[in-house]
Amino acid sequence: MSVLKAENLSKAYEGRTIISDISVHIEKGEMVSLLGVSGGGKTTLFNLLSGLEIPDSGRVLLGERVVTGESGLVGYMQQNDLLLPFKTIADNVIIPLLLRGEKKKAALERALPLFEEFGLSGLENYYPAQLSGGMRQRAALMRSFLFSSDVLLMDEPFSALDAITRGSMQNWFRSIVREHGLSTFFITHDVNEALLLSDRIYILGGRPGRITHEFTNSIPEGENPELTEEFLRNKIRITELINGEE
Amino acid sequence: MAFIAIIIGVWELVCRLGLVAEFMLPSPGKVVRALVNELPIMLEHSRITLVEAAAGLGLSLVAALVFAVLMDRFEFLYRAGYPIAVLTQTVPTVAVAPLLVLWFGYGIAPKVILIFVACFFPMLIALLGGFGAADPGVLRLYRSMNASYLRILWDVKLPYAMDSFFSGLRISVSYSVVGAVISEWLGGNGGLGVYMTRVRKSFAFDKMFAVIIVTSVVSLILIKLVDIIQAMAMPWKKYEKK
Repeated sequence: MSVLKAENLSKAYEGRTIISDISVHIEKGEMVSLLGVSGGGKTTLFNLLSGLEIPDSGRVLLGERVVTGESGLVGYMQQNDLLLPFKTIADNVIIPLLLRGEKKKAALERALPLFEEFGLSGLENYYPAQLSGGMRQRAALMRSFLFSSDVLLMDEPFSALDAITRGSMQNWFRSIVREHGLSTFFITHDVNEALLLSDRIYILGGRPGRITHEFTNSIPEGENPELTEEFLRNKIRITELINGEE
Repeated sequence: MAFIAIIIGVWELVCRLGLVAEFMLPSPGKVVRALVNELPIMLEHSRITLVEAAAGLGLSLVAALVFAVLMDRFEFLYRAGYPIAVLTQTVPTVAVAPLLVLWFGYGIAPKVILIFVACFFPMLIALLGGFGAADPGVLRLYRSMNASYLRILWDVKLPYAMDSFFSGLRISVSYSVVGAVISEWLGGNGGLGVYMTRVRKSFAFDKMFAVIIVTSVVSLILIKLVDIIQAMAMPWKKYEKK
């Protein structure tokens, strides 16, 4: 059974249809990405999935439950880390737990053991401004993770990082997702990133945006996965699929 | 600093050469002597002025906070209240002061009200601006986690408003001292404004200059105090890049 499923979602703003008849699903433990050009409706789809906006038609299911337009159920991480500059890293990551009514002490007890794994040990009492961009994204991911371990929606979370940091963040992200058996749905406009971080890739294209293709991928293993023949073959194939739509 | 020294030097020279009558412009030396001699008396008057300023400023802080939150929460209150707040700012303080004395007597009440009116608007504007400075992405994140308005206010809007709040507070602190002095001109038993009126009536302009200096110094100390409180209240600031 899918952890998250969208059926025939459509949304228009001021008479202009942004996305039309979109159906996607994410299985337990699966890494899925949504690949498409900027301004193609990717973020709109995420707003619908996270319940921040209500679709004109269609519905969203979390497990078997219909949750269309209900916010507060799915973890949502964005391009900006959105850490609060006036809270320490520890206080930032426990926000979702406090919002759920947990006491601060209990929340900290739950969060502190995770710092090591998220590569943030020793930085608990630092302010976001003292951390590098990559470290801040780790903290933001940890906050999303504490919010919901069912499924994480991620809107180009690494696109603001420099190329070297992005590469190491992608590797780290893949291992942490696998270790916790997380289900992730990842927005990106970067074909490489999609191939490195997804079991399945939806390609969003056209105007209004719709799912034009679905691509099953096997995440490459080992050193320099981007240099393997299979990776390049897949990259060419996907680029063709995207260009075929233009 | 050097520029101030030059001005004082020229001032002293003008007085020594007798270019201006002494009763109109006392020399810096005489002003300093008056300052030293009268300091204990002026400090006592400062105390009274400070109490009034603190009461008016404190009330305006509380009121500005309440109104800012209500206006942020309810759009119609913003539309109704904002023009009224602007109006309070356009009314000249000096002109209202005699009316306040007429209505509320020579006690502390008209003084506190005058200071309140002078400080309320800058504080309200500072807070409303500060609430608007909250990162829209963070607000969305909080809403995506189903946070209540009060939670968002406490966790996000108030902390984001602190920078702007302290800027407003710096302005209001100096307004509160000036407002207290103006209100004291119109009557009362003590305070720097009362002292000012007395020395003016006795043509003791060296003391007049001395009390102006004391008033400025009091304001400067208060503004500096706000800076110190801000640094303590916002420990993350020192890590942020300019």
